[in-house]
Amino acid sequence: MTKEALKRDSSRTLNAGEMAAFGAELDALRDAVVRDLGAKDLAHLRRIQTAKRRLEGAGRLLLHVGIGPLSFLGGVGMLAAAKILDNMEIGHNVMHGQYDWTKEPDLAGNRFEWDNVCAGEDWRHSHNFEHHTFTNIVGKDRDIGYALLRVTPEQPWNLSHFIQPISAVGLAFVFQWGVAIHDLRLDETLEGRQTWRELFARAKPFLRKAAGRLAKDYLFFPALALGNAPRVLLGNLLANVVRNLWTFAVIFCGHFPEGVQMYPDPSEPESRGAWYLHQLNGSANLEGGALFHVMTGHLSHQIEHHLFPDLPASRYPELAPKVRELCTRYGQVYHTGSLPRQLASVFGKIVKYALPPPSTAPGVEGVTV
Amino acid sequence: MSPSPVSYRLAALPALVDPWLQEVNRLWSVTEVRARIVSIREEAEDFRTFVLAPNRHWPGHRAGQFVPVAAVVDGVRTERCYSISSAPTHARRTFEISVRRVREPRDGVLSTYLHTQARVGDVLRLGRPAGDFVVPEGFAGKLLLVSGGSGITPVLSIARDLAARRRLRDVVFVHAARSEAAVPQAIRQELEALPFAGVHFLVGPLSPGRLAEIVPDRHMYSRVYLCGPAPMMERFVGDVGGIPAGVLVTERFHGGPVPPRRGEGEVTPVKVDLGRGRVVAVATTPSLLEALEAAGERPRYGCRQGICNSCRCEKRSGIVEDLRNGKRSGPYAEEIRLCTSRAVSDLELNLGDVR
Repeated sequence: MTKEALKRDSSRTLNAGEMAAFGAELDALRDAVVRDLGAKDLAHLRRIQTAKRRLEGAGRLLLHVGIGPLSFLGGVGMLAAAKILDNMEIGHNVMHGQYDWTKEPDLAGNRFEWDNVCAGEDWRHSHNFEHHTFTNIVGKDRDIGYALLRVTPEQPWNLSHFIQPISAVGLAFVFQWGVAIHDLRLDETLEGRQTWRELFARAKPFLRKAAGRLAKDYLFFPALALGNAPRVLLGNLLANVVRNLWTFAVIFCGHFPEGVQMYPDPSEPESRGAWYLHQLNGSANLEGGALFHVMTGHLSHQIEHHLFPDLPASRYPELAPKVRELCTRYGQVYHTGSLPRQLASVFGKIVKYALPPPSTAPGVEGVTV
Repeated sequence: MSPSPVSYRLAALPALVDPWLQEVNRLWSVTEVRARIVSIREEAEDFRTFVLAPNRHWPGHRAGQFVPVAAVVDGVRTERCYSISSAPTHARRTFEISVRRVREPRDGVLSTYLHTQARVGDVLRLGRPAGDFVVPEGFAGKLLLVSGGSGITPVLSIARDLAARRRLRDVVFVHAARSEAAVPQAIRQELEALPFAGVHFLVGPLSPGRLAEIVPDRHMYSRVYLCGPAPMMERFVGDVGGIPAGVLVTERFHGGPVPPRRGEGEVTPVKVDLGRGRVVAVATTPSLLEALEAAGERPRYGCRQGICNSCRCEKRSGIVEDLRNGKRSGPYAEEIRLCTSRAVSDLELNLGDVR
């Protein structure tokens, strides 16, 4: 990479004063939205919940009583869309506490459960706390490659990384299981840093949740379908797989495309401004229309989500131009691209970092390529 | 203790089924008490009666009890308790609440909504009736019913209940309205037509002295029921105008006394009631999380900087300040984050499963 390209692709280092000012401007953006929260924000979520419920109802009905491949595909599509809405625009966002201000008991972030084998309790720890506090901090954010893939040269290489282009595709198909066992720290048990007994205790919420989900999609509904059981079982399986592939694609594009920064452990709590800067440079957006944004749970606005994880996600599109303008003024790169482009970029990295690092590779400080 | 898988599933059942039921009829629910507004009556200036038709979960009430009423106002679920003003025997299971519009931004959210936005046909979410401001079963002595302002509601329910049971001969009813326009005329006519021992509608503040003028033989009553606005109740505290202790039954409304607020730089610790008799003194700075930890408590936490929501817990009462924007909460029950809140008054918290 030439020096000039490096300059264009990297964010300017801010001094302490600039950093504080940058943080204050983002705080002001946040406060303006908080003051404006009201009936329309709750109405948006309730509309999405209604859409999800009806899609799920119609999808299951098509799978249960439909005949032929068209109704099968329609059923799978609707059920998958319902699961995607449930996990992303509803579950992920509600569990962040984005709707706690409504004081609606069914939208309490710390009690919400979603249609996913990952237990809400585990998700709140691994995602809300670890990933959002220590985003892209190598060694602290366990979401970097999901402790399975090597997506940055800062991660140490091991033999398993040789086959990571294949294991990444495998992970995409079973992504909800990857997310679900993520907080169990299986790797730590294998390396002897966690006992099997601790692992089992940690796994309890997951086992309970997974048993319930499996029973629902692969026992209860097929049994209800009587003669149509194989069709319903297969349809439910496919809907889960479609949701897995979609969420994998969106989530991997959020933090691992080319240009997004990784961080060393800061060893002490960051200032508000530094944390904002770190979130901004550690995330990347996806471009698309309104429906696309809803289907990603507005994680297409990963940057705004990481700056304001507890603001209702439907507010990110209106925040995006303001954040972008701030970035221009403070010389920060605003990473964004289309889903295919960013996905290709991530897979490029997965292939590239499958190979061990050449022992003489010179590191470029502060910038990850 | 984590719940068993079975209770966990059953607890989730209403959340699964209720939305489907409510697509058909907004009154339907597996567990929740809901009621449709079937009519609205103007009783006086800023004072309205709502006739409610509840679903089958409504257990019925005793005269003098209140009911928690919730509605979503500007996206926020808002809940207040209102005394039921109808007698328990009201026809076809409908019942009435009478609501004074509170013209104050924070305390008046729900009453203003009910007065300006609620329409006939709307569905309100209710809790179960509660309260001890009731006449004991089988009570047969002389009764003095005293109310001021919207404090008339529970007393009215008691009066109507006694009328339905033809037990008015030994009952005197006294009500004070703040102005002529605030006198609920229809209620006045209704009560004056009934064979009470006395019915008095007054204008202006009611004090023990004024009550003594109207009811000189007040010490002859074996029970006095008193409900009114805070200033009136305060006038009767400690000086009930010759009414022997043990005879007076009172009802407070609007959440009881608001705890005193603390000044900015004040470092005097506040009392935090954690339930089950556990009360700790904590500092008002820097954050509640740090203050509780300094007091030896171990609440759940994660990022400690307002990102992850791990330290969210229920505040049952008291006022906190949001450290990020200096905004102060109301005194009511709500959920707060310990790491971005500081105590401004004494608090009651529910920390849940404390580690």
